[in-house]
Amino acid sequence: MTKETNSVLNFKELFRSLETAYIVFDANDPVFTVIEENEAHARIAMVERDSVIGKPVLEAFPDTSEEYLTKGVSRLLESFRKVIKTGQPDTMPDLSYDLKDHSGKMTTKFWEVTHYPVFEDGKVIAICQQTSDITEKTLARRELTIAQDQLERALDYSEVGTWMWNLDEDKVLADKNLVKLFGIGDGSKQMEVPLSELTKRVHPDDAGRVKESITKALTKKSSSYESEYRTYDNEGNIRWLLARGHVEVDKTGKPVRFPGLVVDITKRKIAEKSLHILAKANTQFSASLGYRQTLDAIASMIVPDVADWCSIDILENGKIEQVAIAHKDPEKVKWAKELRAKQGPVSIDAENGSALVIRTGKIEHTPVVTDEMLVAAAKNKKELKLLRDLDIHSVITVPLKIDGITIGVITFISTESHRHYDANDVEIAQGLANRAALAVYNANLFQDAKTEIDERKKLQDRLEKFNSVLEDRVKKRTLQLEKTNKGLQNEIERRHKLESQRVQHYIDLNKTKDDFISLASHQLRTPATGVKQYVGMILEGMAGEISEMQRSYLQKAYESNERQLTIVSDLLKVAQVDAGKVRIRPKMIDLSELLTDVIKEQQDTYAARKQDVRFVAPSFKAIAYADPDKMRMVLENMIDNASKYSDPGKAIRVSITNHDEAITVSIKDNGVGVAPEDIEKLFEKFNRIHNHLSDHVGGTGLGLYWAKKVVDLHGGTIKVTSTLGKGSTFSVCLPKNSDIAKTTVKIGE
Amino acid sequence: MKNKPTVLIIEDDVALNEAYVTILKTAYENVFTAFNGEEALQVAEQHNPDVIFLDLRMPVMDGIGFLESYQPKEKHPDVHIVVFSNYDMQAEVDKAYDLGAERYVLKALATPSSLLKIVNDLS
Repeated sequence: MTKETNSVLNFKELFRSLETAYIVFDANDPVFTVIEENEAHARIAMVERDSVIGKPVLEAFPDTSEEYLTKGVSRLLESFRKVIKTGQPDTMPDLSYDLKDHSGKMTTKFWEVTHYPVFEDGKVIAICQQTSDITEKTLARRELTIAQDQLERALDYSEVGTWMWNLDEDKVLADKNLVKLFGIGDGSKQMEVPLSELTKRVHPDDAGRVKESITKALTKKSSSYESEYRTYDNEGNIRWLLARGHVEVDKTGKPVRFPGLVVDITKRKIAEKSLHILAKANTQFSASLGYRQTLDAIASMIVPDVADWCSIDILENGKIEQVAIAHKDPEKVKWAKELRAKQGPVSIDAENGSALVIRTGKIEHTPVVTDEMLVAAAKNKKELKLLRDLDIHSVITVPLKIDGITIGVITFISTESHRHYDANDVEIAQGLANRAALAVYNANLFQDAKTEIDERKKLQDRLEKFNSVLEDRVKKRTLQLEKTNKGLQNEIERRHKLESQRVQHYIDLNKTKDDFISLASHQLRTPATGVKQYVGMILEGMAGEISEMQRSYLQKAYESNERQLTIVSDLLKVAQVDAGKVRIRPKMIDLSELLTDVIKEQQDTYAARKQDVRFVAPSFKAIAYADPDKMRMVLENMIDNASKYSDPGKAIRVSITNHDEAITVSIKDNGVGVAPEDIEKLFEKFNRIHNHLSDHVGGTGLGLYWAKKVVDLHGGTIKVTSTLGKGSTFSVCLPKNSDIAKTTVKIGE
Repeated sequence: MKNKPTVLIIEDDVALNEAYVTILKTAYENVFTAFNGEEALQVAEQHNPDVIFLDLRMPVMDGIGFLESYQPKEKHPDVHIVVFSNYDMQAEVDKAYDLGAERYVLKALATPSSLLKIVNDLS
């Protein structure tokens, strides 16, 4: 190996091991064969050195660009030719290759290549390409570009404006949006202006505040800046902006740049204001206000933030009455009121906006009021001048509805603010109108309620008065009643006492009566009994013979005594039966025996009266369930009656008939008889039927009364059939046994 | 029963007592009298009467008192006792029956002959 050969070899090795990628092409070869490639290049090109060296360039690295594939133009070969021709290096900033990696996957690579000429004898014999892999850098830049595009579009869309204030030169770079928001251009392109160009567009009321905020940020009291203020846009509308920025300083701390952005917050501001009004309406509108006062308050709140003018008109009796008009300038309000007063109330049929909205109940929205509209609306030149002077830009008229019925309108008018109402404003206006309608409704309700409450209070007062009068009366009456009650109670007590005294008196009296009966029976009877016995002894011959005259007189004495005894007996018997002191001791008795005995005992008496008193004995055994002593007295009494009330010589027949459960004793006479109407009287106490014999008989009128009571006690009955003057039949019906005795038996059963 | 019954008359009224004795003595030999229940108990003890005419209302011991002591049902079942009274209060008559009296005759209704007939019937 020669010295020279060695130096070439050394160079080649150095070349191959360089970190920077190189490849060398033959400049004399039309297809630019690859002469040499170092390892670094092979690595980034993802090829084997051996497979590349000796191959034409486009064979080693096929051009996949669209340009080459469609037009056959290779930017790489062009660069080679340019280098050969000019002898100057040429750089291709972004050469893109689609390469297969070792795994065979296609991948796009971005390279920055520079072609250097290699001279020999003043001629370019080779081209050395220096290659840098800028794939990552390129992709990152592409992404950044996309992000920037997106940001720009987003800013455009959101109407966010950006600025960059270069303090050294006092130039502010304002983007399109900012230009538009500040009304310094048409917004088609960004502009560079001095700061004063921008600050003079700020609303006079806010200018001082903005300046103060900027100064504060610059003097490092606060390097960040934030401010809300109003500007006039290029259409003259007021815009509410929120600005935010940051002061950048150099190494010495001196402010050099002041970038920032602004956001249009007009809608938010108005919405906020409306919300505030609505909230205030909710809390502060006292229902106790009349609705006119309520509406006045609403109109005052609406200006100037929501509208420059606010008018509220209410339909009253077919006329539209302006109940509220508001503007920030009281002089203008006064002027408007006078103007309206001159015009007088507007008819519901009028052609103007308010009447139309009231009629239709639909919102009228005029975003931009043109001069043609004013001309059309004005009735005369004077009015047109007036309207023109007002400088109306936009109008919204919304209905006030209660229960779906339009009762009036609120009109929002934009004048000096130059605003043009959009859909958003209509929405806000509608919200305020709803609120106002509700306030009217509440105020009316309150008035109604108040009226009703007043009425009720009056009524209640009257009722209370009436009640107190009533109460007094009731008290008086109650007192009277109490007195009366007390009197009544005393009276009742007195009567109760009297009554119990009386009862006691009767009890005592009864006792006295019983005692009397007891005394009478004993004391009256005993002497008469003595008379009876002694006279009886004489009459019966126990004292020897007596003359006829003596017998006659004694007989009369005896009979008188008998009558006295009978009277006493009858009185006692009735007293006993009335007092319920009579009890019977019934048993089975033979009526035939009893009757035979009774008649036999009195036979002498009947004989004296020449009467044929006869018992017609039955063929059957006549057994009855009766008290023998009492029944004897009953039958004696009845047969005696038949005899007494029959004239001498008349016949009396006593017979017995048998029935299923009862047995009847009949006493038939041919005596004086009883009239039908007198039959019931026969059984009454002390009641005597008068006839030609009654005086002679001289009874007490108690015999049949007692007999009936006694027969009743037996469960039997007494029946009378009679013909006056011809005679009577008395029948006593008695039960046959004890079971039947428990019920009352009647004749014929 | 003996052929000639012994009769006891218990009657506080002197006149009546004498009348009954007079009447009964016309037919019967053994007729005794008492003026109240207590006395009657002694007489009855002495003479064992067959028929007793008993008044109810009497001083010292009345007719009911006599029956309660004499106890006709238990001790003298063969003696016929006729309540012979003008006092015809049902309750008292009932009580006499309960205590053993056989008949009740109202004195005011009895004639001298009926008096004799009663003794005759019972003998």
